[in-house]
Amino acid sequence: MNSIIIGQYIPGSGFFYRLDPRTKIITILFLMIAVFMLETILQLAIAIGIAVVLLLAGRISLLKVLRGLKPIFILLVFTFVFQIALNTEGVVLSTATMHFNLTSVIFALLIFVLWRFLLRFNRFKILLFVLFVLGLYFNFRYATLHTDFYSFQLTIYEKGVEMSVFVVLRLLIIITLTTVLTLTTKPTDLTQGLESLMHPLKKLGFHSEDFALIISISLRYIPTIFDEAQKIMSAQASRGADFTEGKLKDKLKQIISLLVPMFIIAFMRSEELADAMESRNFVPGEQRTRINILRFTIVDIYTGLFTALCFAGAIYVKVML
Amino acid sequence: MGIRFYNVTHEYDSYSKKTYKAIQNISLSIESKDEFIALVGHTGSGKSTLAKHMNALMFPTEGYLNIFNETITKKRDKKVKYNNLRRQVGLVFQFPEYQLFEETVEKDIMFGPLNYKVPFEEAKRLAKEAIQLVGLDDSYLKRNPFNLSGGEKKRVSIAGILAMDPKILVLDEPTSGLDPHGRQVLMELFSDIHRKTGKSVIIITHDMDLVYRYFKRVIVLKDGMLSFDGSPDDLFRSDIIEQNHLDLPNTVKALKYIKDKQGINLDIYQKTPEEAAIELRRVMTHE
Amino acid sequence: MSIIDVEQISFAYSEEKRTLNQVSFTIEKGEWIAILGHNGSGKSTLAKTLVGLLEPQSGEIRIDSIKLSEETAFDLRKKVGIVFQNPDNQFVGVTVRDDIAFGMENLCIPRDEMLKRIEFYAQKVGMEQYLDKQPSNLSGGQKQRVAIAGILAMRSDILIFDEATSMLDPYTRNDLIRYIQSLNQEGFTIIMITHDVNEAILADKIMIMKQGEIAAFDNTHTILEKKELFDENHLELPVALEIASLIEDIKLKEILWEFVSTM
Repeated sequence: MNSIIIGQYIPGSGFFYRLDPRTKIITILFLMIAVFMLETILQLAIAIGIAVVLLLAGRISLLKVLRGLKPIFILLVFTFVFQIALNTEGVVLSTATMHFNLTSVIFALLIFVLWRFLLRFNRFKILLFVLFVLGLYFNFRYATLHTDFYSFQLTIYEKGVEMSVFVVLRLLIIITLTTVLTLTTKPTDLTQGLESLMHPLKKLGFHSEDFALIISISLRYIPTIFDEAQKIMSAQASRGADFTEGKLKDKLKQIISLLVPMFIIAFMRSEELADAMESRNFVPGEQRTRINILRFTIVDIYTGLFTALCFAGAIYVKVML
Repeated sequence: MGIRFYNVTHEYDSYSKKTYKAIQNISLSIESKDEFIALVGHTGSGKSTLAKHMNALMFPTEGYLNIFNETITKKRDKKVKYNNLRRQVGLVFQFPEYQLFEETVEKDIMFGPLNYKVPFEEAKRLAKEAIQLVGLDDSYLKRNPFNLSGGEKKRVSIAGILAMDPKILVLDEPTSGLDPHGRQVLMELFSDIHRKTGKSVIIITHDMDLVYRYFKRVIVLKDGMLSFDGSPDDLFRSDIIEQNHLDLPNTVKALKYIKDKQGINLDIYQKTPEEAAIELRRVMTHE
Repeated sequence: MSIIDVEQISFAYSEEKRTLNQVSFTIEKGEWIAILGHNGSGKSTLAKTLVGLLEPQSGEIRIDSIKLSEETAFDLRKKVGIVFQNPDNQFVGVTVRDDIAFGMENLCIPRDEMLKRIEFYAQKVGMEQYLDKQPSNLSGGQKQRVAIAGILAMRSDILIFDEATSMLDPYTRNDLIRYIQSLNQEGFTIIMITHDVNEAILADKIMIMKQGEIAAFDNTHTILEKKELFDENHLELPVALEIASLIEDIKLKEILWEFVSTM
């Protein structure tokens, strides 16, 4: 059950792994702010260049980072399309009538089917999507054999393209930054880093230690609970619960047959766990020493300096240019 | 009819890249009537994996099985109703907590039959039969399963499987966690169900005293491989026990100690303390 | 010197039924006590009162002559450790190292000292190879050993095992019991709650509990001689003694008793 890793941590060595989680969290926070201060595509491109160099230096495979982008790919596409469609400033780049008629709609369907079919081969998904969108665009633009039942004018402005590229690039950098954080930091280290950073909030009544303990215990029990869910599923399948087929009404019952035991077991566990913790003298909110401690090293200092430099650069760019 | 294993291997994908064979090259056959089989072996010997193949919860990665005339191979066949096989071969898991979920015992027992589209009234009747079969009276039907004792929960979970009227009943360590007395009571119950219904019963257990006392046939697994299949008497008289680091039954151990200590001619293979005492008395009067 | 004094304690979860009723006994330092009883006899409730997880409604418990109360519970728990039944539900740490440290962290022991003790006690329970392992990669027996190390690291000298072996297979169980035996020989006071008489025969004394009361508490040998006590409480004698009770020959009886003591 070790395959289930929250936050996609992948064990490894190299520069980013040696950093203190606190440094990583703060660095990434500041770099994000810096990225938001940049105003032109060129500046962003330079930032991306620096990021790529750093990733390579830290021996993090770009492929893994890109894979981390997959879930938000749709978001990127939407952002891109919205920016193009909504911006009406600047020079007109192209304007064309989009034709909706019998041929274009049939061809659009064909293109759709072709796209879904090619997707089965499970490769070049993103490229295929881009081709699909382009295909649709040209299809509606040039398919004029029949009389249109609907048409509209699609105008693309220079500013629109610029903005969409800009926004997408910015999103890309921010996501890459967070991916690097979760990719190279163990969940427990991450919680401990957060705890340590939130420590000053204690004055406001926020007990960051308790919070961190809750998170780390939850992380510890994820594989156990997953294992259990599988056993419960087997037990109910042995009573004829078919989780793949069946009507909605049956399915509902089957899901209940899975959830109820899970909750009851979790409830029993939490009571036993509370006893076990109390018997080992755990008192919520009390002072404890820690076996895992965070230590800044020389690497953290360099990173801090580098971050400060980037941040200063961003401010300079913002104010002076 | 029944279950036939033909060179069945099940290989798990391990995350450390090495694959791991939970069971290896197993061939055996289990009849659909009158079997009373103990499945023994150390933790990790593949007992549970073997049991999960018997009702098609798991599929072989090599070899094939035949369960009530349906062939089970690595490839899932859309025409085979695997779900229906699970009605023929009832599998009871170790912890009743994994399956109890309804607010009454009756509803919980009816879950299985209703999944197989048994009419409501008929399912109700089956629940009543099943609860009596596991030695609890009708008053339990209206009770909340979560307020029962551990032993009662176990019985209800077994009733939940029995209500589907399986031909073969497989139980994964039903006696673990019980005290010796409870263990014996439960074994009497299984033996009783077996006698009354003629259903084949397969029980995974570690308890050699029970194996010797109750079972007709023992299957021993070692590192995923079949190491013995035969009668308990043959098993305990062979050197398989030592090879597999298994225990002898306590009666045999005690009598062996006396035999070695006193050098008397004694038949140490006795199943119960009573039989052991009779044998000891017999020997002493001869001396 | 008595290390645990229990005087007339009663405990009830609900109004109708007392789970513990006027229980009194004394345990000497370095003794090994087995508490036998059926499910629902109150033995696990008794264990929880001894570590201050439950507070008896009447009576008092003294550990090392100090009365167990809300104020003293924290300090007394340093002396008394408990290992529970389910290995999974008491493993708090993300790794073996973290789990052994958990109790010490609560006692605010400095980190350097913790690291020393972790190394020492992991070695003692034979888990030094596994310090970075996660619980999902450990067997039940290994998890119980980690739990013992965690308690030993808190420098407890009374160890309570609340059916700690009942979820293990017989082979692992034997291993663990041998280990507990070696701890007892080192001087640790052991209280072992079990429903299996085969685990109890190694103890110095056996206490049999029945419906919240002590049905008997005596030297192991004396208890084992009373077959009717076992029959009354639906408990079973070790098979060899069962045989001994069925035969008349004195010599054979002796040999069977001898056999039991070698188990």
